[in-house]
Amino acid sequence: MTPWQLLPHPWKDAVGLLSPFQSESLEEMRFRVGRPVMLYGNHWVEELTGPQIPRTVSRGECERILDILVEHSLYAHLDELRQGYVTLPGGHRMGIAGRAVLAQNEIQTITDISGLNIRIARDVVGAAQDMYHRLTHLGLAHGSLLLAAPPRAGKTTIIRDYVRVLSNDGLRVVVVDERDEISGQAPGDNGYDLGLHTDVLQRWPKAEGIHAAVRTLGPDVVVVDELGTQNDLEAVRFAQHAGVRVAATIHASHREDLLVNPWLKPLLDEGVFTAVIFLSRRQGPATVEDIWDTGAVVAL
Amino acid sequence: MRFVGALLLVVSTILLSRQAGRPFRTRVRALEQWQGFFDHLAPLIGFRQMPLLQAFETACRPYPMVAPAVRRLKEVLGTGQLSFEEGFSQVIGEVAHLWSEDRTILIDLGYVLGKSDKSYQEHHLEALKPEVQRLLKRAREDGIKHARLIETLGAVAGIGLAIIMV
Repeated sequence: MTPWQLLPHPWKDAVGLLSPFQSESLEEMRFRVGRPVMLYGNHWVEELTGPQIPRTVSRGECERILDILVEHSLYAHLDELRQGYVTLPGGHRMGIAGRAVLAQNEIQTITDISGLNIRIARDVVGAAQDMYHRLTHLGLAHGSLLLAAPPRAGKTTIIRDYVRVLSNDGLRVVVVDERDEISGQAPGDNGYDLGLHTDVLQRWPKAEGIHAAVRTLGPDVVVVDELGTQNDLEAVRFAQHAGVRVAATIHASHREDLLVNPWLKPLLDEGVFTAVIFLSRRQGPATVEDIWDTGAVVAL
Repeated sequence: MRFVGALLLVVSTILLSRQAGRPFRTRVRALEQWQGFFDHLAPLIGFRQMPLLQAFETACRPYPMVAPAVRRLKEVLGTGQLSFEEGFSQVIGEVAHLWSEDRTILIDLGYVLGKSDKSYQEHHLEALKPEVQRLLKRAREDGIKHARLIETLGAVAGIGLAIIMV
């Protein structure tokens, strides 16, 4: 199910009237208070028009859309909302712009919603094939991997397919899926096919999830999306020291971006990651730009 | 023949008066069931953090007077046209067994359900309890006072008419 199908009328109907090319390549839909609704595809941008579509979006409309997309249950999504997003059924993500309500310097919730950014999650079977073949050719396929890319470059799409490849090769894979984006699981929906030997720790914080996976689920590989904090990186080191491979993604465009990260640099120096794969959108999402062999010894 | 006619008259007036007193008793039963429903709902929202409609469906299972309203709510919200408070308000307005003041309190709850942290949700449901208990107490008193009065008056009138007939 696409995230557009979850939208209320008249937005859902208007998306249904798009041309087949636009429907297939539509990646994002942005609602901004006082502005028209904009559609973003791969190398195209267009205003959403259609019967009953207002020229601009009101705050009330944004709040109604949010209410419907969170199934009228904001309390069940507050942990996500505090980080500025909500994961929708199918692993799609909705970013939320608004006024943060703080208590003791911590974000409690977001009010006065001023913008919504709904982004589709795509399950592309074979997306990781090119990367996997190149890693195999370089002798790096059996080590820990870090996929680095700027936002919207297809990190999650490629790591989801990579999970499927590893799992169907007979490896025991545990996905620590803090945002349900890799698995796309939701109540009543088993999500994407992640292969025969994959377990999913749904909504676990990354660091706790990695520790739990290593201690209790006996994985060959642990997979996490969007490493960010020192705790996450420490947990990766813990897994590596426990003899478990890690495949993770991180926001970065170049080697320099990674090397200025004070928590990541020691891990790269220690050889925790065998290879870093840089992705871009140059030839569409999940284009493999470069594979950096960090020189770490691969344990076969 | 007259005796049979008089007997039928007494029986029918008693039945009619019981019918007239029924809304008082039904209101009590309905309020008791809504109260039980909200008691069941609180942990489903607070502890299990179920989506609201799923929590409603689970919580209403033991309450046959609440279940049709929940089914209707699911139908109304399934259209994707209405926000929760709009849908809830519409459905509560359609519930036959509740009285106007009962509906007002439930509709007020609809404005806050689902819209805040689980602890606030539990707080709202907790705050509803004394309100429903107050309504329930009054409904029971009304039931005793009015329903019994109507039934007694009906029975007395029936017996009186029967005596005149005989």
